[in-house]
Amino acid sequence: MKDILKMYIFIPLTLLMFGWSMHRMFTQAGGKEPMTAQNLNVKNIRANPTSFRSVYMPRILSGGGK
Amino acid sequence: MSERVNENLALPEAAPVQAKGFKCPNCGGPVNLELPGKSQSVRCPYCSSILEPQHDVLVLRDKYNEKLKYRMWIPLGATGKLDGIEFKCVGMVVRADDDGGEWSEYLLFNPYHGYRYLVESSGHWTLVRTEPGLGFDGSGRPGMTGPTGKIQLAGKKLKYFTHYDARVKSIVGEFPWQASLGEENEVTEYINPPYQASCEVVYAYVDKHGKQYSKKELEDLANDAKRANAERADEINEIAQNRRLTESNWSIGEYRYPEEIQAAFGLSEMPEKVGFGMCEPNPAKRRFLFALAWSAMLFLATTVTCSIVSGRAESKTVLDKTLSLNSAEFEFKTEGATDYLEFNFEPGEVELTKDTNVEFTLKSSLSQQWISFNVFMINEATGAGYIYDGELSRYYGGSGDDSWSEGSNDTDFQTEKMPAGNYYLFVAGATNVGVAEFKTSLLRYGQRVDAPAVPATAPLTPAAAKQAKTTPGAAAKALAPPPAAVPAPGKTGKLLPMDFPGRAFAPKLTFTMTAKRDVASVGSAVLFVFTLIGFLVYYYIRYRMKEGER
Repeated sequence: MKDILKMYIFIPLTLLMFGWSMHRMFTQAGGKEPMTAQNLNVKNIRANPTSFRSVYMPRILSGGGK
Repeated sequence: MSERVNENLALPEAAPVQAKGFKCPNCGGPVNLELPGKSQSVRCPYCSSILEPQHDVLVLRDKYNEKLKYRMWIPLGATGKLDGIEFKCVGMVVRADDDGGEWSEYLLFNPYHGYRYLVESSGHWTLVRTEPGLGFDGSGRPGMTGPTGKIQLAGKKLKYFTHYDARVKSIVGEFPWQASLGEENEVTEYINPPYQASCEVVYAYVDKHGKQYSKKELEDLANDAKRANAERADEINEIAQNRRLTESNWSIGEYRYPEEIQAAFGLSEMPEKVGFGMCEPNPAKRRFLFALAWSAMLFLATTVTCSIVSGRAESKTVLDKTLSLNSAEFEFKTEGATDYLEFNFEPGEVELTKDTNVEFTLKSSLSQQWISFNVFMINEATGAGYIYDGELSRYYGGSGDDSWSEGSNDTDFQTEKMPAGNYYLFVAGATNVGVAEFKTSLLRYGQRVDAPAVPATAPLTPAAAKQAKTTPGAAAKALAPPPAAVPAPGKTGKLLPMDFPGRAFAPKLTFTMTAKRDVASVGSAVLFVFTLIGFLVYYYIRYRMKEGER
């Protein structure tokens, strides 16, 4: 009985893990979580990248927005 | 088994007895004979005397006046079906070894199939039958290759398990042989769970005059000589060396789970199961084999799925660019006592035609140096920025056995699933590469003033434009330039002049950045496979431990 119970725990658990890992694989879940920023203007950054790096980037990275 | 014989051997020796009900010649108590004509000895349930049925009377053979003290879990006369054959319990022999271990052997009988022995030891049960066909090796030892070898039985190899002397402690019921207490024989056991084979032999010890002694008689002789301080040690040793095999019985058995015995005989109580049975199948082995099969199946399924997903994923390199830091924009900065260079460069663009992840691989050629960076992925249509940070460092020192190193020149990371779109890449970071050279260049060529701050502001969204039209002052507020750039306290930046002629003399570092899109995320699958392997290792260790306990 104990063996059967263990098997009943072992089988669903491994199946669940299998399903979970397959789901993550198919959906490309996971990966590194990024910091996000909104309304960035690529045109302006291209025009003066050094300014973006030295002035706006620290604000964005500190969470204060651009 | 004590002097096991099957019914074919027992019949000719039994005295003709027809009656079933008798009186004990010692105490006068009623004694019932279950198998008249087969049994050669029966024990009185009242005075424990051993009686011999002869011509419809019981003859007193060994006189006792004591109560039977051993419990019979299967009562006399109880019937039960094992292997589809109905057996009746007609007797029990209690035996013990030299280490004090005791076990019970229940004698079962079926008129068509003969006798079986159901052995109970520490709550473990084995159904045994005699097997006269098994013999001895060329040197007269039991088994095909001797006590330390293996024997073949029905295509199975049985390993030698143990060897011991067994002595009859008590008997209950009736037996098809001349049973008596104290009877002794040597037992050799072989196992291959759930099967066992045992060989029981009796030796006679012969002196120079041809007189035979049993093992017990020889022991008594030695004890007497010891007590009398008689100098007969050499003579007794000589007798002990000269032994002859006078009797041997082979039997084979199979382990039975207590539940089966309990159900077969309808028993309400059973002895407590202690430890492992001698030929009990390793319960951990079954679980290990199950886990092995189960893990193999899931391992296969995972591998196949990984292959399909990996094959389906595009894994296309969308950016493979080698950048020299001396072609990037640099700014010399000081924070506390640390000088470093901030840099930025634009490696290019990544186009994602569908929602997918991106895998970045970064390689450098650091030597006692560090570099930290932020990779900006900015969606050109929506202005949404995704910023991933990372760092590389490579330090080493010492020599010979004391040499050490830490860090790596490579790193990679996988982004989460990104929305489809065209992404502009911007990399900015800091490093200590070329700080000294940069300072020299600054002294020689002067410095450039800070670059004008251009707002990295997106055009007004339609909603914001609408709000600007409807709310007085909102338009002016929305279009107003952002606040002036204020450098972080304690930080000062110095740029080389625009016309700086020798950028090539500034920091030198190769930084390779590769980006692949739609990469199969097999990390979870790998984790799952490792979990499976962990399960397997756990069950294997348990299996080996149980084997060791046996």
